[in-house]
Amino acid sequence: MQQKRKKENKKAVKTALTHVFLIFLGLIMIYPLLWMFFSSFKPNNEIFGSLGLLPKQVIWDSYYRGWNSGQFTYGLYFKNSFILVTPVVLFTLISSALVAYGFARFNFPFRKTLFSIMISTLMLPNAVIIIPRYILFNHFNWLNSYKPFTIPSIFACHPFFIFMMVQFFRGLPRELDESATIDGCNTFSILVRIHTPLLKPALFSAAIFQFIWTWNDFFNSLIYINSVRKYTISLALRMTLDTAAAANWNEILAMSTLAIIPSVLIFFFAQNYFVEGIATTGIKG
Amino acid sequence: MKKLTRIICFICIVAVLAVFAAGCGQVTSKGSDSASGTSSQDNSTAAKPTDKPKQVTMRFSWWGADNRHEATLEAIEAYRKLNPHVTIEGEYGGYDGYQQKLMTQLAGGSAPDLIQTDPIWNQQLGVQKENFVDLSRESAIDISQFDEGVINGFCLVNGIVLGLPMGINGFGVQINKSFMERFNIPLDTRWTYEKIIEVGRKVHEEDSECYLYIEDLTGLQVKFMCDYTRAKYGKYWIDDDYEIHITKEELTEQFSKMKELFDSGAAVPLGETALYNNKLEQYPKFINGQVGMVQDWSGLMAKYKEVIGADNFAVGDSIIVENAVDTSTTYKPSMLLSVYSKSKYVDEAVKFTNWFLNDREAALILKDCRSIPGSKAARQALIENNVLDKDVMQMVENTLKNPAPPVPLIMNNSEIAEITKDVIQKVVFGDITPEDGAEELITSVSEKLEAIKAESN
Repeated sequence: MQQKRKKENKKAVKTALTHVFLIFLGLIMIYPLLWMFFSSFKPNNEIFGSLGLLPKQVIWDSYYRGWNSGQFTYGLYFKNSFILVTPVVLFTLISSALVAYGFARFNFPFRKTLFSIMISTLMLPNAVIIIPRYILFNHFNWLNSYKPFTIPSIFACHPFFIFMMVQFFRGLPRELDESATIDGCNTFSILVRIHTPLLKPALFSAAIFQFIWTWNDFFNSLIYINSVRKYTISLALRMTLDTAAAANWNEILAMSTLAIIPSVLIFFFAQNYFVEGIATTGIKG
Repeated sequence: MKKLTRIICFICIVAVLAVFAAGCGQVTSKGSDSASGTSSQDNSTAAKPTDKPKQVTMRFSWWGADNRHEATLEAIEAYRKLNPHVTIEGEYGGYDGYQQKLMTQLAGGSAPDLIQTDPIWNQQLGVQKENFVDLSRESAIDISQFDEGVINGFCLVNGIVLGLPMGINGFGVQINKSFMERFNIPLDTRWTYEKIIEVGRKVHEEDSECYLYIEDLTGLQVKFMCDYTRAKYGKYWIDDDYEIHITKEELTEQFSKMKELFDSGAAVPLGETALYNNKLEQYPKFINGQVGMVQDWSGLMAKYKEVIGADNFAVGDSIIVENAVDTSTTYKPSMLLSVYSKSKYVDEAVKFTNWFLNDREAALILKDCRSIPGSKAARQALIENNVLDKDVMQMVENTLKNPAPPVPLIMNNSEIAEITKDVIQKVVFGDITPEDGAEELITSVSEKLEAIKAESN
C-alpha cells in the first residue's frame, strides 16, 4: 500500500517536473511573438534599447496609425492577400490531389519517368527558375496580377504537395478501391467518395502549409506585383523599411502582429480537423 | 471492366489536352492583343505632336521611407494637375529587394518608365546601357542645372548619361553633443584616425561602457579601403585599369591602424555591431547615448538625428589621417533618376524627369526627401524658402568645399567588396596579422581583377 503511494508520488513529481520544463521551453519559443506584441506599444528607443516586455512609456495609437499610414490603409493589403491566397490554396488542393491520385493508382506509360521529372523540379532552387518564369509570365501578360500565383496552382505546379499526397495515397489500402468498384464506383467517384474523406488529414496539412507559405511569401510577390494598389501584406510591411530613415517600428510591429493572426487562426482551426481526420481514418494500411 | 477503365482514361486525356489547348489558345490571343495594343500606342505616340495629347500612363519606381513616398506621390499629383493627360503610377517600397526586382524587370523587358537607381549599380547597369535613355541627348532636359563634375563622375557610364542626380550627399561625422560635453571633447575637432584612437582610448578607460566611435563592417570596408588610402597616400588602391596600386607595406600599415582602432577601445567592437550592419542607429548603446559619433552620408542623417535628438545633434568634417596628403571628402549623388529606353512614352518620361528634378514647384514639394537636390534651380528654390535642414546643408557645404574625385567604378564591385570584408574581419578579430591580411588581400583581389578583366574584354 505504502509502496504504491510512494510510486504515485514519484510519478506526480515526475509529471510536474516535465510540465515545468515544457512550459519553460514553450515560453522561450513564444517569447519573440510576445515581444513583438508588446513592442508594438513601445517608442523606438525602448524597442532597441531594452529586452524587457513591458513598455515604460505606452504608445496607444500605433495600431491606428500603422493601419492608416501611407497611400492606402492596411485593409486593402489584407484584402489583397486574401484574394491571392484563397484561390491558390483551393486550386493547389484540388490539382495536387488529382495528380497524386494519378501517380499513385494508375499505370500509364512513362509513369516512373514523369514522376521523377516531377520530383526533380522539387529540387530546383527558386533562384534558378525565377528569371525564366518571370520572362514567361511577362510574355503571357500576367505581370502585376495574381495570375502568376493562381494559374500554376491550377496546374499542380507545387510538386511538394503532390509528393506528400502520393505518399498518403500509397498508405490507403487498395482493397478499398476494389470494394468500391464492386459497389459500382468509377475511378473518379472512388477519388471523390472514398479517398477524399480519408485524405482529409493530408489535405488539411497541405492547406495549412500552402496558406502560411503563400501568405508570408515576400520574394515572389515582390517580383510579380508592381502596383502598390495590389500589394500584399508582406510587401506592405516592408514598404516603409528603408536604410535612409528611421522607421516607426511600433507601427510596423503592430501591423506584423495583425499580419500573423490569419496564419495562427488557420492553424488552430484546421488543427481540429487535422486531428479528427486522423482519428476517423478507419482502416489501417 | 478493363475496357471501361481504358475508355475513361482516354476521355480524361482528351479532356486534359483540350484544356491545355484552350489555355494555350487564350494565351496566344492575349499575347497578340498586347502586341497589337503596343503597336497602336506606338502609332499614337508618333502622331502625337499634331493632335491633342493622348492619355498616358507611366510607371515610376523608387525606394524610400514614408516621408519620401508621401512627398513623391504629392509631386506626381501636382504634375497631373499641370498635365492632365499624364497619369503616373508609383511603385515604391523599401530598399530591400529593389535591386533584384529591377534587374529581373530589365532582363524581362518590363521595367518601369521612370526608375530611381543607386549610383553604385552604375557598373552593372552600364553593361546593359541599351535599356536606358541617354539623357544628355534629350533637349527637353535642362542638364546645365547639374554640376558637370557630378555628371561626368557619377552619371556618365559607358558613354551615356544613365540618369540624373536626384540629390547630393555630403559626408562627415554625426555627433552626439552631450557625449562630447561629458568627456570634454571640443565639438569642432577635425578628426583623424590617430586622434580617434588617442581620445577614444581615454574615453573607454574612463567608462568601459562608452565608445567614441562606431563603425560596421560595410562602412569599415569603404572607409579604410577608400577614404583612408586616399587621405594617406593620395590614391585609390585599385583602379579601373584592373591593377592594384597599393604596396603590401602600405596595406599592412593601414590594417594595423584599423586593428588599433578596435583594440584601443575607441570603436565599438566589430563583433557587437555585426547585427547592426547598415543600421547602427538601432545599436542599443548608440540609442542610450554611450557612443560619441558615427561617420555617414548626409542622406542618412535623419535616422541618426532622430535617435540622438535634434537639439543634441551636431555635424563635423569627415575623418582623415594625420599629415594627410589629400584632405578631400568623399561625396556622391544620393540616387539617380533614369528613363527606360523601352518605355512606350520616352518623350513624356523625359519631360517628367525635367520637371521632377528642375522645377521650383516640384522642389518645394519634394524638399530634401532625397537629400539636397542635385539641380541648382531646385536647390535655389529650397534655400530661398528656407526649408532645408541646417545640419544636412552644413554637411553638404563642408563636403563641397573640397570634394574628392569620384571613386573608380571597380571599387563598387560587390565581389571585391566581399573579399575585402572577409580579410578585414579576420584582421580585426585577430585571426591573422595585418601583414598576412595584406598579403592575402593582394593575392585574392589580383586574381579576381584578372577574372573581371578577362570578362570585360
